[in-house]
Amino acid sequence: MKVVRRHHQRTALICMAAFLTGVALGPSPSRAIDLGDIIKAGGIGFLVTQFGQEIDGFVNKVMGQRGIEREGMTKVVPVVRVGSGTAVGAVQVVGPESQVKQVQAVAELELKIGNRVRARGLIPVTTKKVATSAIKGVGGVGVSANIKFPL
Amino acid sequence: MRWSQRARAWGGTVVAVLVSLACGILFRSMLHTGSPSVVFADKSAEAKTDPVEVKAMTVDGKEVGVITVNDREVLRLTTTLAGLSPLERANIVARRVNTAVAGGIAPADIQAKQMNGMWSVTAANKVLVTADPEEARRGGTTPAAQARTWADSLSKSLEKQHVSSDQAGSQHAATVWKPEEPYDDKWVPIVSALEGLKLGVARVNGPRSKVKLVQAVAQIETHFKDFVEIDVYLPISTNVPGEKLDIVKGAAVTGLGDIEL
Repeated sequence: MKVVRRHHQRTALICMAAFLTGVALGPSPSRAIDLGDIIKAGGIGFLVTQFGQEIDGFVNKVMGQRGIEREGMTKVVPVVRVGSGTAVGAVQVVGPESQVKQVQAVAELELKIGNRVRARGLIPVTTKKVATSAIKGVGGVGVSANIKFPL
Repeated sequence: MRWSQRARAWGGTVVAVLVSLACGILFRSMLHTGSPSVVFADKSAEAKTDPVEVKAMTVDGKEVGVITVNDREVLRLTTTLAGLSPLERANIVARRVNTAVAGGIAPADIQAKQMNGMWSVTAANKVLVTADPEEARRGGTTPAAQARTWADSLSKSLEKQHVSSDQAGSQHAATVWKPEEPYDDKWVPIVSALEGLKLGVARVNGPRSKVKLVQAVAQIETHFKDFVEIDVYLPISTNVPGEKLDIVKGAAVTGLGDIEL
Protein backbone atom coordinates (compact mmCIF):
# COMPACT_ATOMS: atom_id res chain seq x y z
CA MET A 1 0.00 0.00 0.00
CA LYS A 2 2.83 2.34 0.96
CA VAL A 3 4.54 1.59 -2.34
CA VAL A 4 1.43 2.50 -4.30
CA ARG A 5 1.01 5.77 -2.39
CA ARG A 6 4.65 6.70 -2.94
CA HIS A 7 4.23 5.89 -6.63
CA HIS A 8 1.19 8.20 -6.87
CA GLN A 9 3.04 11.01 -5.13
CA ARG A 10 5.98 10.64 -7.48
CA THR A 11 3.61 10.60 -10.50
CA ALA A 12 1.90 13.79 -9.28
CA LEU A 13 5.24 15.54 -8.88
CA ILE A 14 6.44 14.43 -12.31
CA CYS A 15 3.12 15.56 -13.86
CA MET A 16 3.45 18.97 -12.18
CA ALA A 17 7.00 19.28 -13.52
CA ALA A 18 5.83 18.24 -16.99
CA PHE A 19 3.03 20.84 -16.91
CA LEU A 20 5.45 23.60 -15.92
CA THR A 21 7.89 22.45 -18.60
CA GLY A 22 5.06 22.68 -21.12
CA VAL A 23 4.24 26.22 -19.98
CA ALA A 24 7.89 27.21 -20.28
CA LEU A 25 8.58 25.58 -23.63
CA GLY A 26 5.22 26.13 -25.33
CA PRO A 27 4.84 28.52 -28.25
CA SER A 28 4.50 32.22 -27.49
CA PRO A 29 0.95 33.43 -27.07
CA SER A 30 -0.73 34.02 -30.39
CA ARG A 31 -0.36 37.62 -31.56
CA ALA A 32 -1.58 37.14 -35.09
CA ILE A 33 -2.78 40.43 -36.50
CA ASP A 34 -5.95 40.36 -38.56
CA LEU A 35 -5.32 42.82 -41.36
CA GLY A 36 -9.01 43.38 -41.91
CA ASP A 37 -9.42 44.44 -38.27
CA ILE A 38 -6.46 46.82 -38.55
CA ILE A 39 -7.88 48.41 -41.69
CA LYS A 40 -11.29 48.76 -40.01
CA ALA A 41 -9.72 50.26 -36.88
CA GLY A 42 -7.27 52.69 -38.34
CA GLY A 43 -7.46 52.66 -42.13
CA ILE A 44 -4.62 52.72 -44.61
CA GLY A 45 -3.01 55.67 -42.87
CA PHE A 46 -2.57 53.46 -39.82
CA LEU A 47 -1.13 50.61 -41.91
CA VAL A 48 1.38 53.01 -43.44
CA THR A 49 2.35 54.27 -39.98
CA GLN A 50 2.79 50.73 -38.72
CA PHE A 51 4.40 49.04 -41.71
CA GLY A 52 5.62 51.92 -43.94
CA GLN A 53 9.23 51.94 -42.79
CA GLU A 54 9.42 48.16 -42.90
CA ILE A 55 7.94 48.01 -46.41
CA ASP A 56 10.31 50.76 -47.58
CA GLY A 57 13.30 48.82 -46.26
CA PHE A 58 11.94 45.61 -47.78
CA VAL A 59 11.52 47.12 -51.28
CA ASN A 60 15.00 48.64 -51.16
CA LYS A 61 16.46 45.32 -50.02
CA VAL A 62 14.72 43.41 -52.83
CA MET A 63 16.02 45.95 -55.37
CA GLY A 64 19.50 45.75 -53.85
CA GLN A 65 19.47 41.96 -54.16
CA ARG A 66 18.79 42.40 -57.90
CA GLY A 67 21.66 44.85 -58.20
CA ILE A 68 19.28 47.77 -58.80
CA GLU A 69 20.36 51.08 -57.35
CA ARG A 70 18.14 54.13 -57.20
CA GLU A 71 19.14 57.71 -56.74
CA GLY A 72 18.06 59.71 -53.68
CA MET A 73 15.89 58.83 -50.71
CA THR A 74 12.77 56.66 -50.55
CA LYS A 75 9.77 56.67 -48.21
CA VAL A 76 6.35 55.00 -48.02
CA VAL A 77 3.34 57.35 -47.78
CA PRO A 78 -0.45 56.98 -48.15
CA VAL A 79 -2.25 57.79 -51.39
CA VAL A 80 -5.07 60.25 -50.72
CA ARG A 81 -7.89 60.83 -53.19
CA VAL A 82 -8.31 64.50 -54.06
CA GLY A 83 -11.74 65.81 -53.15
CA SER A 84 -12.77 63.17 -50.66
CA GLY A 85 -9.45 63.17 -48.81
CA THR A 86 -9.78 59.41 -48.31
CA ALA A 87 -6.63 57.27 -48.12
CA VAL A 88 -6.96 54.67 -50.88
CA GLY A 89 -3.56 53.00 -50.94
CA ALA A 90 0.13 53.53 -50.39
CA VAL A 91 3.19 54.15 -52.53
CA GLN A 92 6.93 54.38 -52.15
CA VAL A 93 8.23 57.76 -53.30
CA VAL A 94 11.76 58.53 -54.47
CA GLY A 95 13.68 61.76 -54.99
CA PRO A 96 16.20 64.15 -53.46
CA GLU A 97 16.38 63.72 -49.67
CA SER A 98 15.38 67.32 -48.87
CA GLN A 99 12.25 66.90 -51.01
CA VAL A 100 11.24 63.40 -49.94
CA LYS A 101 11.41 64.44 -46.28
CA GLN A 102 8.60 66.95 -46.92
CA VAL A 103 6.25 64.46 -48.57
CA GLN A 104 3.38 63.36 -46.29
CA ALA A 105 1.12 61.77 -48.88
CA VAL A 106 0.54 61.34 -52.60
CA ALA A 107 -2.58 63.00 -53.96
CA GLU A 108 -4.43 60.93 -56.53
CA LEU A 109 -6.28 62.63 -59.38
CA GLU A 110 -8.47 60.83 -61.89
CA LEU A 111 -7.39 61.66 -65.46
CA LYS A 112 -8.89 60.71 -68.80
CA ILE A 113 -6.51 60.68 -71.75
CA GLY A 114 -8.37 60.38 -75.04
CA ASN A 115 -11.15 57.80 -75.11
CA ARG A 116 -9.20 54.74 -74.12
CA VAL A 117 -6.82 55.64 -71.33
CA ARG A 118 -8.02 56.09 -67.79
CA ALA A 119 -5.21 57.32 -65.58
CA ARG A 120 -4.31 58.21 -62.01
CA GLY A 121 -2.19 61.31 -61.57
CA LEU A 122 0.05 60.84 -58.52
CA ILE A 123 1.27 64.06 -56.95
CA PRO A 124 3.51 63.99 -53.86
CA VAL A 125 2.20 66.61 -51.40
CA THR A 126 3.19 67.97 -47.99
CA THR A 127 -0.13 67.29 -46.25
CA LYS A 128 -2.34 64.28 -45.65
CA LYS A 129 -5.46 66.45 -45.90
CA VAL A 130 -6.00 66.88 -49.61
CA ALA A 131 -9.45 68.35 -49.89
CA THR A 132 -9.18 70.79 -52.76
CA SER A 133 -8.25 70.38 -56.40
CA ALA A 134 -5.83 73.34 -56.18
CA ILE A 135 -2.83 71.32 -55.06
CA LYS A 136 0.85 71.84 -55.73
CA GLY A 137 3.23 68.93 -55.64
CA VAL A 138 6.66 68.52 -54.11
CA GLY A 139 9.10 68.96 -56.99
CA GLY A 140 11.60 66.28 -57.90
CA VAL A 141 9.72 63.45 -56.19
CA GLY A 142 8.07 60.56 -58.01
CA VAL A 143 6.52 57.19 -57.26
CA SER A 144 8.86 54.23 -57.28
CA ALA A 145 6.48 51.50 -56.10
CA ASN A 146 2.76 50.92 -55.77
CA ILE A 147 1.79 49.12 -52.56
CA LYS A 148 -1.52 47.25 -52.65
CA PHE A 149 -3.08 46.28 -49.32
CA PRO A 150 -5.76 43.61 -49.60
CA LEU A 151 -9.02 45.48 -48.95
CA MET B 1 4.09 -5.53 -6.81
CA ARG B 2 4.37 -7.97 -9.67
CA TRP B 3 6.25 -7.09 -12.85
CA SER B 4 3.06 -6.73 -14.95
CA GLN B 5 1.47 -4.44 -12.32
CA ARG B 6 4.59 -2.30 -12.11
CA ALA B 7 4.77 -1.98 -15.92
CA ARG B 8 1.10 -0.94 -16.04
CA ALA B 9 1.64 1.65 -13.28
CA TRP B 10 4.66 3.18 -15.05
CA GLY B 11 2.73 3.19 -18.36
CA GLY B 12 -0.01 5.21 -16.67
CA THR B 13 2.60 7.57 -15.27
CA VAL B 14 4.09 8.17 -18.72
CA VAL B 15 0.65 8.91 -20.16
CA ALA B 16 -0.11 11.29 -17.27
CA VAL B 17 3.22 13.08 -17.80
CA LEU B 18 2.59 13.47 -21.53
CA VAL B 19 -0.92 14.81 -20.90
CA SER B 20 0.46 17.29 -18.33
CA LEU B 21 3.11 18.45 -20.78
CA ALA B 22 0.49 18.95 -23.50
CA CYS B 23 -1.75 20.84 -21.08
CA GLY B 24 1.17 23.09 -20.16
CA ILE B 25 1.89 23.87 -23.80
CA LEU B 26 -1.80 24.51 -24.46
CA PHE B 27 -2.08 26.75 -21.41
CA ARG B 28 0.95 28.75 -22.55
CA SER B 29 -0.44 29.26 -26.06
CA MET B 30 -3.79 30.43 -24.63
CA LEU B 31 -2.28 33.20 -22.50
CA HIS B 32 -3.03 36.73 -23.70
CA THR B 33 -5.06 35.75 -26.73
CA GLY B 34 -6.86 39.11 -26.71
CA SER B 35 -6.24 41.85 -29.21
CA PRO B 36 -2.57 42.68 -29.73
CA SER B 37 -1.56 45.86 -28.01
CA VAL B 38 -1.18 48.48 -30.68
CA VAL B 39 0.83 51.62 -30.27
CA PHE B 40 -0.37 54.56 -32.32
CA ALA B 41 2.99 56.09 -33.11
CA ASP B 42 1.51 59.28 -34.46
CA LYS B 43 -1.05 59.81 -31.74
CA SER B 44 0.76 62.71 -30.03
CA ALA B 45 1.37 64.40 -33.36
CA GLU B 46 -2.26 63.90 -34.36
CA ALA B 47 -3.48 65.35 -31.09
CA LYS B 48 -1.48 68.51 -31.70
CA THR B 49 -3.03 68.98 -35.12
CA ASP B 50 -6.66 68.27 -34.20
CA PRO B 51 -8.63 70.94 -36.07
CA VAL B 52 -11.57 71.03 -33.65
CA GLU B 53 -11.23 72.21 -30.05
CA VAL B 54 -13.58 72.89 -27.14
CA LYS B 55 -13.79 75.95 -24.95
CA ALA B 56 -15.74 76.10 -21.70
CA MET B 57 -17.72 79.29 -21.15
CA THR B 58 -20.22 80.54 -18.63
CA VAL B 59 -23.18 82.52 -19.97
CA ASP B 60 -25.72 83.92 -17.49
CA GLY B 61 -24.23 81.68 -14.83
CA LYS B 62 -24.73 78.56 -16.94
CA GLU B 63 -22.08 76.29 -18.43
CA VAL B 64 -21.74 76.39 -22.22
CA GLY B 65 -19.58 74.18 -24.43
CA VAL B 66 -18.16 76.05 -27.43
CA ILE B 67 -16.70 74.15 -30.36
CA THR B 68 -14.05 75.98 -32.37
CA VAL B 69 -12.04 75.45 -35.54
CA ASN B 70 -8.84 77.52 -35.65
CA ASP B 71 -10.09 79.50 -32.65
CA ARG B 72 -13.27 80.43 -34.53
CA GLU B 73 -16.58 79.41 -32.95
CA VAL B 74 -18.59 77.05 -35.15
CA LEU B 75 -21.28 75.96 -32.71
CA ARG B 76 -22.17 76.13 -29.04
CA LEU B 77 -24.08 73.71 -26.85
CA THR B 78 -26.11 75.06 -23.95
CA THR B 79 -28.40 72.19 -22.98
CA THR B 80 -27.98 68.95 -21.08
CA LEU B 81 -28.86 65.89 -23.12
CA ALA B 82 -28.93 62.24 -22.08
CA GLY B 83 -27.41 63.19 -18.72
CA LEU B 84 -24.43 64.91 -20.36
CA SER B 85 -23.60 68.52 -19.56
CA PRO B 86 -23.07 71.01 -22.43
CA LEU B 87 -19.29 70.81 -21.93
CA GLU B 88 -19.29 67.01 -21.89
CA ARG B 89 -21.38 66.99 -25.05
CA ALA B 90 -19.02 69.48 -26.70
CA ASN B 91 -16.01 67.30 -25.88
CA ILE B 92 -17.74 64.27 -27.40
CA VAL B 93 -18.67 66.24 -30.53
CA ALA B 94 -15.10 67.55 -30.93
CA ARG B 95 -13.69 64.03 -30.58
CA ARG B 96 -16.16 62.71 -33.18
CA VAL B 97 -15.31 65.46 -35.68
CA ASN B 98 -11.55 65.06 -35.19
CA THR B 99 -11.86 61.30 -35.63
CA ALA B 100 -13.93 61.79 -38.79
CA VAL B 101 -11.41 64.29 -40.21
CA ALA B 102 -8.48 61.99 -39.37
CA GLY B 103 -10.39 59.15 -41.04
CA GLY B 104 -10.43 61.11 -44.28
CA ILE B 105 -13.88 62.71 -44.50
CA ALA B 106 -14.04 65.86 -46.59
CA PRO B 107 -15.73 69.06 -45.31
CA ALA B 108 -18.35 68.59 -48.02
CA ASP B 109 -19.36 65.27 -46.41
CA ILE B 110 -20.69 67.12 -43.36
CA GLN B 111 -24.46 67.39 -43.71
CA ALA B 112 -27.65 67.98 -41.76
CA LYS B 113 -29.77 64.83 -41.68
CA GLN B 114 -32.61 63.33 -39.76
CA MET B 115 -31.27 60.22 -38.05
CA ASN B 116 -33.37 58.06 -35.70
CA GLY B 117 -36.05 60.75 -35.70
CA MET B 118 -33.68 63.53 -34.56
CA TRP B 119 -32.11 66.24 -36.68
CA SER B 120 -28.32 65.87 -36.53
CA VAL B 121 -25.10 66.99 -38.15
CA THR B 122 -23.59 63.90 -39.77
CA ALA B 123 -20.50 62.82 -41.67
CA ALA B 124 -20.48 59.59 -43.65
CA ASN B 125 -23.83 58.68 -42.02
CA LYS B 126 -22.42 58.99 -38.49
CA VAL B 127 -23.89 61.48 -36.04
CA LEU B 128 -21.51 64.25 -35.02
CA VAL B 129 -23.99 66.34 -32.98
CA THR B 130 -27.72 66.21 -32.38
CA ALA B 131 -29.80 69.37 -32.70
CA ASP B 132 -32.16 68.70 -29.82
CA PRO B 133 -35.50 70.58 -29.68
CA GLU B 134 -34.62 72.42 -26.43
CA GLU B 135 -31.36 73.74 -27.93
CA ALA B 136 -33.25 74.89 -31.04
CA ARG B 137 -36.02 76.47 -28.94
CA ARG B 138 -33.48 78.49 -26.96
CA GLY B 139 -31.94 79.69 -30.22
CA GLY B 140 -35.38 80.63 -31.54
CA THR B 141 -35.23 78.14 -34.39
CA THR B 142 -36.21 74.57 -35.33
CA PRO B 143 -34.04 71.47 -34.92
CA ALA B 144 -33.82 71.12 -38.73
CA ALA B 145 -32.67 74.71 -39.23
CA GLN B 146 -30.28 74.41 -36.28
CA ALA B 147 -28.70 71.26 -37.74
CA ARG B 148 -28.30 72.93 -41.16
CA THR B 149 -26.68 76.03 -39.64
CA TRP B 150 -24.24 73.94 -37.61
CA ALA B 151 -23.40 71.65 -40.57
CA ASP B 152 -22.76 74.66 -42.80
CA SER B 153 -20.63 76.43 -40.22
CA LEU B 154 -18.56 73.32 -39.44
CA SER B 155 -18.09 72.39 -43.11
CA LYS B 156 -16.98 75.91 -44.13
CA SER B 157 -14.55 76.25 -41.23
CA LEU B 158 -12.96 72.87 -41.94
CA GLU B 159 -12.70 73.70 -45.65
CA LYS B 160 -10.81 76.93 -44.80
CA GLN B 161 -8.54 75.01 -42.51
CA HIS B 162 -7.76 72.44 -45.27
CA VAL B 163 -7.03 75.13 -47.85
CA SER B 164 -4.70 77.03 -45.54
CA SER B 165 -2.76 73.89 -44.59
CA ASP B 166 -2.52 72.87 -48.27
CA GLN B 167 -1.28 76.30 -49.24
CA ALA B 168 1.20 76.46 -46.38
CA GLY B 169 2.63 73.11 -47.38
CA SER B 170 2.79 73.97 -51.07
CA GLN B 171 4.41 77.34 -50.48
CA HIS B 172 7.03 75.74 -48.28
CA ALA B 173 7.81 73.15 -50.96
CA ALA B 174 7.93 75.77 -53.69
CA THR B 175 10.38 78.05 -51.91
CA VAL B 176 12.94 75.46 -50.85
CA TRP B 177 13.77 73.43 -53.93
CA LYS B 178 15.19 74.58 -57.25
CA PRO B 179 16.20 71.87 -59.72
CA GLU B 180 19.53 72.23 -61.51
CA GLU B 181 17.83 71.37 -64.81
CA PRO B 182 14.26 72.05 -66.02
CA TYR B 183 11.88 69.15 -65.41
CA ASP B 184 9.86 67.42 -68.08
CA ASP B 185 7.42 64.55 -68.29
CA LYS B 186 6.05 62.04 -70.80
CA TRP B 187 3.86 58.94 -71.05
CA VAL B 188 5.57 55.60 -71.74
CA PRO B 189 4.40 51.97 -71.64
CA ILE B 190 4.71 49.91 -68.45
CA VAL B 191 6.34 46.58 -69.29
CA SER B 192 6.58 43.53 -67.03
CA ALA B 193 10.26 43.03 -66.25
CA LEU B 194 9.91 39.24 -66.28
CA GLU B 195 7.58 38.56 -69.21
CA GLY B 196 7.94 41.71 -71.33
CA LEU B 197 4.14 42.12 -71.43
CA LYS B 198 2.68 45.60 -71.68
CA LEU B 199 0.72 46.30 -68.50
CA GLY B 200 -0.40 49.88 -68.99
CA VAL B 201 1.11 53.33 -69.31
CA ALA B 202 3.06 55.51 -66.90
CA ARG B 203 3.81 59.21 -66.76
CA VAL B 204 7.47 59.72 -65.95
CA ASN B 205 8.87 62.96 -64.62
CA GLY B 206 12.42 64.17 -64.05
CA PRO B 207 15.23 66.33 -65.45
CA ARG B 208 14.64 66.93 -69.17
CA SER B 209 17.81 65.09 -70.26
CA LYS B 210 16.83 62.03 -68.20
CA VAL B 211 13.20 61.95 -69.32
CA LYS B 212 14.38 62.01 -72.96
CA LEU B 213 16.20 58.74 -72.34
CA VAL B 214 13.20 56.93 -70.84
CA GLN B 215 11.52 54.53 -73.28
CA ALA B 216 9.45 52.44 -70.87
CA VAL B 217 8.84 51.67 -67.22
CA ALA B 218 9.80 48.16 -66.12
CA GLN B 219 7.49 46.70 -63.49
CA ILE B 220 8.80 44.21 -60.94
CA GLU B 221 6.27 42.48 -58.69
CA THR B 222 7.05 41.35 -55.18
CA HIS B 223 5.18 40.52 -51.97
CA PHE B 224 5.66 41.75 -48.43
CA LYS B 225 4.64 39.32 -45.65
CA ASP B 226 2.48 37.42 -48.19
CA PHE B 227 -0.45 39.84 -47.91
CA VAL B 228 0.88 43.05 -49.46
CA GLU B 229 1.44 43.15 -53.21
CA ILE B 230 4.09 45.60 -54.39
CA ASP B 231 4.74 46.76 -57.97
CA VAL B 232 8.11 48.47 -58.29
CA TYR B 233 8.47 50.91 -61.21
CA LEU B 234 11.83 51.44 -62.86
CA PRO B 235 12.15 53.92 -65.76
CA ILE B 236 14.39 52.27 -68.37
CA SER B 237 16.07 53.41 -71.58
CA THR B 238 14.89 50.47 -73.69
CA ASN B 239 11.45 49.42 -74.97
CA VAL B 240 11.79 45.87 -73.71
CA PRO B 241 13.54 45.00 -70.45
CA GLY B 242 16.64 42.90 -71.05
CA GLU B 243 18.40 40.64 -68.57
CA LYS B 244 20.00 43.73 -67.11
CA LEU B 245 17.70 46.72 -66.72
CA ASP B 246 19.04 49.98 -68.16
CA ILE B 247 17.62 52.17 -65.42
CA VAL B 248 17.39 55.91 -65.94
CA LYS B 249 18.26 57.32 -62.53
CA GLY B 250 16.62 60.61 -61.58
CA ALA B 251 13.34 59.93 -63.43
CA ALA B 252 10.31 58.63 -61.54
CA VAL B 253 6.63 57.85 -62.11
CA THR B 254 3.99 60.51 -61.43
CA GLY B 255 1.00 58.86 -63.09
CA LEU B 256 -0.37 55.41 -63.91
CA GLY B 257 -2.84 54.58 -66.67
CA ASP B 258 -4.93 51.65 -67.80
CA ILE B 259 -5.81 51.22 -71.45
CA GLU B 260 -9.50 50.38 -71.76
CA LEU B 261 -9.92 47.55 -74.24
